[in-house]
Amino acid sequence: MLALAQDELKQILAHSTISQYGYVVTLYGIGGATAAGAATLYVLAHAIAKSALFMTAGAVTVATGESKLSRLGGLRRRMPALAVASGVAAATLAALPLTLGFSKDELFFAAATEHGRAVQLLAVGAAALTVAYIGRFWLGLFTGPLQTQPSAPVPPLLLAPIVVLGALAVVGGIVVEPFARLAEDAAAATYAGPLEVAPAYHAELGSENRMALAAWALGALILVVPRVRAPLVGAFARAGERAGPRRWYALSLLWLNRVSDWAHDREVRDLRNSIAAVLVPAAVLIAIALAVTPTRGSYEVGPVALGDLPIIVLLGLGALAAVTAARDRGRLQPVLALSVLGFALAGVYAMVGAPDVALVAVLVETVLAYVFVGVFARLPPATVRRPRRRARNAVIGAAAGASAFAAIWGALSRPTATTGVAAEHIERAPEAHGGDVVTVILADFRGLDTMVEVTVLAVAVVGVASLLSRGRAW
Amino acid sequence: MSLLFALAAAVLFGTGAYLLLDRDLVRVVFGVVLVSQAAVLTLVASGLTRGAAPIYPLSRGPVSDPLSQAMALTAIVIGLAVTALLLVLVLRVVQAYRSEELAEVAVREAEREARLERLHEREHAEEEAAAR
Amino acid sequence: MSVILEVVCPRLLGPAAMVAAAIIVKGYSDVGDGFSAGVVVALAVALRYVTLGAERAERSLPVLRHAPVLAVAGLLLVLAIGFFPVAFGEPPLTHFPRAGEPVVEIGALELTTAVALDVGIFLLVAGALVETIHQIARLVEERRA
Repeated sequence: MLALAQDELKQILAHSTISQYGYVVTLYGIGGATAAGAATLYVLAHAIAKSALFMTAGAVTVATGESKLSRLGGLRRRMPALAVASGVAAATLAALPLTLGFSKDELFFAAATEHGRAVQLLAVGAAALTVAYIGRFWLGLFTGPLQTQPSAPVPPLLLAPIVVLGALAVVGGIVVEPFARLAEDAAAATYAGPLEVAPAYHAELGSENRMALAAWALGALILVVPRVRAPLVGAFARAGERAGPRRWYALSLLWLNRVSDWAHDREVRDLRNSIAAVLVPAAVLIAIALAVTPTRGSYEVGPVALGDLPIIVLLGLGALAAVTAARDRGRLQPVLALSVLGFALAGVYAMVGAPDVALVAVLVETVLAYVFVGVFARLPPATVRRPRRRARNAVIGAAAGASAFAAIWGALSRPTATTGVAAEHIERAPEAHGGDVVTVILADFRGLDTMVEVTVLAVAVVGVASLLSRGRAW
Repeated sequence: MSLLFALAAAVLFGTGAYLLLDRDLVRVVFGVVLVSQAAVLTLVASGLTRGAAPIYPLSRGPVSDPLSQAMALTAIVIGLAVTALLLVLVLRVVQAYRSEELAEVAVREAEREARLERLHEREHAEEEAAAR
Repeated sequence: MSVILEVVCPRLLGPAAMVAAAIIVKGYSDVGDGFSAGVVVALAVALRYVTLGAERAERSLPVLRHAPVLAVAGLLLVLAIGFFPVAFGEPPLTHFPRAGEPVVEIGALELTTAVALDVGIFLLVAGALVETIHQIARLVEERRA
């Protein structure tokens, strides 16, 4: 209803979207197989038509620099292709025949008819309103005297999708079958049972067709007679402003805003507190779990052979490097310590039979050192000042470390009894034409993981590049 | 051996957590690096079998678990991506707010936001006046 | 900067590229994969940037300017190989030739789509990291200026 009064193009469309989804909710509210099928077809048709109309609004605004309906008009001659394409889209929304929209309203009316006269009347009223505001949108844009001279032609890239969507709507109106199948599948999911979406043109004057005719007539009436329209809409809009959803919406928005401000404040001021708030309860939970589960025998030191000595030394070196990185408050020293840690761990990986991991770890560590040093060239030197609450952080860190120790040791000393998929991976690698099982897993058996991984890498680098170059890639 | 692996991973995680709680944003990045190293170490250590590298021709003895290695590789790469992005983000924050102290950044951001809000309100009022 | 560095570092790119190629070719049957090959190349490039500076490094090797293109091409290659089998009704990432079928071999290189995937990863990683290195080198030079 409010769409009739709006002047801003996109606001008309936005209000209309609200009302269209009102139909869909109504349909689901009516219930039953017919309604569920109708609702999905409705969403489909609406998606096609409304995206075309939104793009029309955008194209018109781009071309004329104007976004108010009252200042636009008569664009039919200037943009004939756009007028036709968006006209089709509008016709779909208004449910004129030969478009996908006709089927959607037909099913809508059929569902309403199943539920008695009152629903039928409401449906006709709603459809009439749709005809009215969409008609107003399109007629206002493209007919009448030329109001604002378009300063630029509509870019073809903007026009093409509108034309495609319009064509889709017409095709759907004539050959409705594929769309109906699509809707059927979707509706079956929501209705939890098979159902049939069978729109068709009925030549006889069934109740659906009569309802459609009534809706068009009523809509045209509202559209053509502004004197009927203005006071009606005005009164409704005023009532809405005063007590309607809009006011409630504004109020709730205000309150939500306040709540989110408050939460944001807390969060920003106390990021560290929120990290602590994750770590401490996690430690407490693990401690509780340890206290209540019988742990006798579930922890194993594991066999230590003499040949493991280098691994032990390297692990110790890594731990020392980590502590150094944490204790030193400079800039470069922690980076050096982190590099030592990385290389020590790479050595460990090489010795436990994971040469692939070791190779990548060494390479990544080197790149990371380069990135750190490069970024530090632009960072101000570390301010050496006595940190507050250092003891508190140390206690929390120790708690986190202790809980991690308990959890990791527990996990490592209890390997699952059954053989994992690893054996199978090893066995099948030659079949996949590969000798290095790890690489075969990465490229073949678990290739999707790798794909997502490299995508993450690409996205991160795009982020780095755009952050460093202030928007320009080169 | 599993005790030692767990001990080392726990030290890494603990120091990482300690650094995450620091007020200096750069040290928070160090903390992220340490925590991700702890995760990778745990992954590699959690291989069900240990032995020679899983590369054909296989040696006769036990072979290391290739699956956990593949996962560790993925973790390392994503750790690199995240760390680089985080570091550059910190750099930009430090340049924008002229401080790497978390508390100061928060205060400056609050100030800036308040200023923006006032500006916005003024614009809004002007618009309304123009509409009348 | 010492003379030795100036002379040696730029000439390391060729050997590094060789190593990267070897890692990819042998990757499927020995240690290494597209990722490590990409990082090797990126590190060699980083050495150039460190010794020559961003400006000279890019003038002497104009390919470096197109690193983002390389990265995007790699990503597209990876995605294409991953989802290409879907067009034939196979699950994504089905590799050809199938298990047990004969493979075309050129020396140690076995031509399978998995190797092509690795090449895509190599391009993506090398391009992305070189781009990062370029940005950081510029960052350092801005400070010097």
